[in-house]
Amino acid sequence: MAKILIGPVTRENTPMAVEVSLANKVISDAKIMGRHMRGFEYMLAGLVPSDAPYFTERICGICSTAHTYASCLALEDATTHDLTKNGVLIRNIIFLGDLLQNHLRHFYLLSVPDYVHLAEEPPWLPRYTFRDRLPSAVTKRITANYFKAFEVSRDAHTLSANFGGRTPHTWSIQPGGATVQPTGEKIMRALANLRLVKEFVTGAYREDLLALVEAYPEYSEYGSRPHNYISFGLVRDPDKPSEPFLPGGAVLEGQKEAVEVTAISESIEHSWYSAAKEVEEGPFYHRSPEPDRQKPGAYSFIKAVRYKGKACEGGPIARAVLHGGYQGGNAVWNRHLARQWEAERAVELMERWINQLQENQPSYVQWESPEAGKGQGLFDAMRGPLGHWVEIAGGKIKNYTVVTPSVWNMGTRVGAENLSPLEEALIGTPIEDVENPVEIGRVVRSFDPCTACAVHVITPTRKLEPFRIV
Amino acid sequence: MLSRREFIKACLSMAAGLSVPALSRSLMAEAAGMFSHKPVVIYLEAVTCTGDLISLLNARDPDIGRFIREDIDLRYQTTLMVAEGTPAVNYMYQSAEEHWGEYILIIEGAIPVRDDGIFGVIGEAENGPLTALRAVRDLAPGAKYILPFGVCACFGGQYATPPNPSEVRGVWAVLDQRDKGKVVNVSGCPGHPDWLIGTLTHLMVYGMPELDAHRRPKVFFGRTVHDLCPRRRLFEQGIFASQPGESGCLYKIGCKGPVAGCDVPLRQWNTYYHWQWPIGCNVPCIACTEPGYPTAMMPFYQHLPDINVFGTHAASRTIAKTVGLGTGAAIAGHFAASLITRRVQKNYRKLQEPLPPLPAEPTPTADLAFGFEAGPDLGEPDLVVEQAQPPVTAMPRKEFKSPLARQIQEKWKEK
Repeated sequence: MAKILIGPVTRENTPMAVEVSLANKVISDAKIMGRHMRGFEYMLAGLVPSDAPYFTERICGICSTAHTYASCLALEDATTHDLTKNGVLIRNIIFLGDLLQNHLRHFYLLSVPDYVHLAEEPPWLPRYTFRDRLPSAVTKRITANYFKAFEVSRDAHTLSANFGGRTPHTWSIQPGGATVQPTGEKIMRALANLRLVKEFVTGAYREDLLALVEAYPEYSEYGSRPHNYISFGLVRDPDKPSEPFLPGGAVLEGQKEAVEVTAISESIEHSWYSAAKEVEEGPFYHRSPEPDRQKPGAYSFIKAVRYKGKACEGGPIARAVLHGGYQGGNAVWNRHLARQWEAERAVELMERWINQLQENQPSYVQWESPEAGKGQGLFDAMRGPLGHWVEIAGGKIKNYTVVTPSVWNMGTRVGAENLSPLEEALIGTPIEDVENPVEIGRVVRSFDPCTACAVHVITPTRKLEPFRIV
Repeated sequence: MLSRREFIKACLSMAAGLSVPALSRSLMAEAAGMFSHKPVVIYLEAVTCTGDLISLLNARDPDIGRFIREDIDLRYQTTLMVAEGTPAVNYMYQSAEEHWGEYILIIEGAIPVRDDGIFGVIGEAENGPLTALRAVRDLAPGAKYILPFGVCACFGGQYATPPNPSEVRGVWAVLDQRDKGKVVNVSGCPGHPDWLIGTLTHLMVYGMPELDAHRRPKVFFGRTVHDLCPRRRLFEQGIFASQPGESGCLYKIGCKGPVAGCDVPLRQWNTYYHWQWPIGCNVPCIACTEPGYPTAMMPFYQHLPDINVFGTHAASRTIAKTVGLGTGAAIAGHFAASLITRRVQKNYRKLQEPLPPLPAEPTPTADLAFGFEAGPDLGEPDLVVEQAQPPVTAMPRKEFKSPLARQIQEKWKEK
């Protein structure tokens, strides 16, 4: 049985590696390996709670607003706190601007080069040998849009920065609301940015994606997996800040249900960690396990997370199933189309919300850190469900747990059979040319992978022997 | 062509309508005429959140797509390049070999040194996992300049926060002594696109810029946020904000502007509008360009301790004077009561020490100038890290299998 190891899988946020086994030129097994680790949760223990939003947003550079948002929700949950409508609106607008940026960059900068011959110089060369099936006029148009996407995604980020002060690693999202007040100037500039982005999202993005769908029809089948999805709900309702605007939910074998947090379980069976402490109160208020780079059978620093024992996929397609009435398949193109659909919805929401901002009305209510408490912030990031759990004792963070979308989508397996969504999606994909396995990258990138945030826990209490490759 | 003095002046003034990338572009285009080849750039991503690259993608006038296509020859950048897997790694080494001694090495993210760097595997080379540590040490000798981009690459940054689980270091701390002289730190969390593009331009067109004690270009990092702050007047009048979201001086609620060396008050982020920086958003600066960030700057909402001790910054002296005059009497009282102060002070003194001068032979501890020897006492017994840090020793070079890699290795031996 042939094996292909691709490392780094480029064009994703922080390189990971993929190892696939082939039987008759069809992928029979796949392993997703996150091979670097940072240990945010241990760094967070002992800090004062109000530092958490800034600190956790540095988990990921491409979805930093999602982390700071979730962190604020967790902190606000630990106390009782009221938000102003302006505060929620501004946070939502900052996040959705970041979401648009992410979806545009994901499609053009990260995914398109898998299908189109863009330019004949580095960094677009070298590339796998594959046939660009698009007519040359379309290739030319997509190439022009690829370079245009650098500008438009930047404008989407600028939209966030109008209220967030900076992207990535935004400033103004704080527990208690947003620290900027909407002024007329900010609102006008945001609307101007949005107009540029809208034109591109509803025009070029849609056309180019449909052109690719038409030219590469087999990817409407490749990358399918069981219909299990999960979402924690997208952004917060400005009129009811404690509720998500688009409510979360889980879909198990096609059946929708509300998410029970206690039914979420983590596993380190195939991850480079040893013996986690037993869970006492709920899955997420406990210490993280120790790393063990030589654990037999383990292959990644990413843990596994399951809902009712099932691997559930998060991201735009999960939200399309839950809110968009979408009932179709979940192959490569379905994921891309769901992402484009979501980008259009985000533009509509933002148009509405920017116009609802009340000029020069307060958007921030001071938040006082509690002496002790527990809070959870459940939130959907661009690529799936994101949970922050904080436990505060003595005015400091005692435990902090983050479960990121990539742990849901591309974690390790549980047992031999219960694979993670991305591993499930890879299996069954035929590889035409083993020397140029372009299909692997196409399936992997349909998930919008991001290893940066997937790998985050460790305790440093013991030294390891140097790792040897046998 | 602009003279060096004029270029620096333009960067310093940040006049309206004059963006550094635009200036750089025309300069680089002119400079390109002097060389046979566009500058070859290898951009490594070590252990990072990719925030610095995303920040770079937000550059404007021109956008970064055009910059990459027309002004530089980008050979390796894992988020943008089309090649993947071992061929990509091989291409990186091949490019390094072709342009040995000429290419510019940009490094984003911190370098884990624990267990020979195995906690930061960034790819698969011919002979096994390629760690960030090995990649940096392989490529540094052939680089003309080394630009750590972002505070993690410069000083360890976020990931060096105690207990520093994967024992990360800044790039400077893991390099061989002979390569340290090529380092120009472009700090920040994330780094500003102007800083990187401006520094790159200066290096290509005028050579090494003037550096400060932490090897950062003085043109961008030589003045403090406090010196340039539009709310400086409020500080001097004693008009302070009491909570985030207020429009007074944010010093009392934790602004680290007095110790943050960078020109963001003039430059701003993203679009250069006047509110696109922390203080414009009514939250304190967290000094993300400084060594010791974030540990020395936390809690972010706790104001600075006795700022007389910092020494190096001109602004500190000014503040000391102001505080001495009585505006800050209340602040000083508050400092004394603060438990946190000790922590900040302890870390700050240690971390703000300037880099040792280059010609001197380093001791192993000097080599780890930015390593945290021990975390602050967090009051959690099972959080205590083992105190002894292994000295960073030279990586044993492995024998490569591919003829190409072997050629490169021959080259190392010659050097």
